[in-house]
Amino acid sequence: MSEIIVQTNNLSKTFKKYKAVDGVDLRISKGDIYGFLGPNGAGKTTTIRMLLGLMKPSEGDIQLFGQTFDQNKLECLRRMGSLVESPSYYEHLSGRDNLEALRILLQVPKSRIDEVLEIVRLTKDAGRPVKQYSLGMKQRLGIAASLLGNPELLVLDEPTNGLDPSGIQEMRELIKSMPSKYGITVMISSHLLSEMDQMATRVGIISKGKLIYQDSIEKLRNKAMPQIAIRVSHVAKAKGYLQSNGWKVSSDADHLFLEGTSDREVAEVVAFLAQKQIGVYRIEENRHTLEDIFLDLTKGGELDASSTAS
Amino acid sequence: MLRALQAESMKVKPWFWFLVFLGPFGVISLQLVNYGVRYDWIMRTYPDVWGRLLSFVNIFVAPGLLLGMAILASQLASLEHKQGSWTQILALPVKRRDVFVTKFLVVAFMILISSVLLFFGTILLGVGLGFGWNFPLIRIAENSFYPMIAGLPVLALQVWLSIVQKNQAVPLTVGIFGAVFSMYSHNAPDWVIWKWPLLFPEHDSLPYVGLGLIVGIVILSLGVLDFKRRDIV
Repeated sequence: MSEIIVQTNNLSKTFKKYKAVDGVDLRISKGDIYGFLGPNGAGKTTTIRMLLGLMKPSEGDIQLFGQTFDQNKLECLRRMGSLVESPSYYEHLSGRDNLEALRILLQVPKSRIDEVLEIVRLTKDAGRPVKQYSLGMKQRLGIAASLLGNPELLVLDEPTNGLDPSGIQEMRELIKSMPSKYGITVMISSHLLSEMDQMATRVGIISKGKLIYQDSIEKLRNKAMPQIAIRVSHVAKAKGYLQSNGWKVSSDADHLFLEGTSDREVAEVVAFLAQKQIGVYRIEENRHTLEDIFLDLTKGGELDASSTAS
Repeated sequence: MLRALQAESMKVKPWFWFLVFLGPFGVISLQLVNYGVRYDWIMRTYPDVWGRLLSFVNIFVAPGLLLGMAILASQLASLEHKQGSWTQILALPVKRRDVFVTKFLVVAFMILISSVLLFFGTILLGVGLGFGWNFPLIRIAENSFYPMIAGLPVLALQVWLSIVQKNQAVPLTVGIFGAVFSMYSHNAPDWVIWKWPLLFPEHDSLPYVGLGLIVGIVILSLGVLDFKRRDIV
């Protein structure tokens, strides 16, 4: 079991009477890329703001690097880097001067600016004023700023918001390389599961302020096992035959459904049905995408029965 | 704290310095017009030439100063409001107190520069009007620097308002209203802080300066306390 870097216990935040974050227990281990997912307004940003000390939790506590955050705020923040929503910068200054203004506050050596510019590949444009930057470049500058203090934990809130596909791709590659190349643990929030699918090692899903899922991405992916739909001439009869032979089958009006079957098993089923004189019209594979599961999870809060078969 | 100051000074835009210059320049230019229009009459009516010049200048120092404080405080806070940089700065290992006090100190420093410019401007104006080089140094210094110190409570208030209010119309309205009000505040009760930068020849202005310093620090501390417990959205 690797070291736990972020741990929250019963973390809650109430605005007036509205519970924006409700009893969230996050666990993020060293070396994770933790995808923090949820629809807009689910409480992602509020949770992140509490982790960064921008908001005070109404209830619960936060442990960062094994320390109580509330009592060691500056020390914890020194080990973290963050990019919350849109990157912030001073338009009239160049990219380099923007970093310099932060560098002075962080007290890191000047050479660190060149290093982070190199990481996000902005060295060439560092001298230009930021108002001339494209959105993707600004976002990269934001990442550079968050890396400036040699953080052990990087907290990114929707870093790909508003980027074009190539910008997203670029950002993704950058983030993916963080744990292996620089030993940085990453927490990244998003409302798009597909985005996380290609980056995250672990995911937490938050909906209506509650953390409804937290585990490795593989476990989530396993829930996305394909389903084989077979359209047959006599559904009820076919189902009866198959069930009496030990197959797990479900059905609707004119389809049989098989879960988690291998190619060979499908072939066997078809051969078996043909042998019983049942017409097989079509064989289709229905994939539950992660997106479907995400929607299911965040809609009702519970997985529906058909997708938990595995 | 020093680091915060250094970082803050990097962000200052050139036109802030233009404002710093514009304040004293405007006050002196107005007097140039005043004397240009009715030089003979003024010289005939008031034998204490330097004293009269100072009281003329002082009428415009208070509103100019208060306006300058409001605009500079708002501009400095806008640097962060505009791009939502508050989240970035406050997520750094920097104390909120330092961030807040730094903004105050930077504006105070700029106002100080304005006061220095006013000091030299007043002397040049007097000499240029032919009052001779035998000027009352202390009185000119008092007229240039006392209003600033007596105005520190207003500065602390403006800094707090500008930082906690995203909508800069609020601090600017308060600031402009205060500046206009100060011109007519002769008969206002003594606790009205906008009145303090005005120096009245008929009574001692030193108590207002001392009070300005103390109340300024009190309001600044209250501002810090409030800023510390706020949620940053």
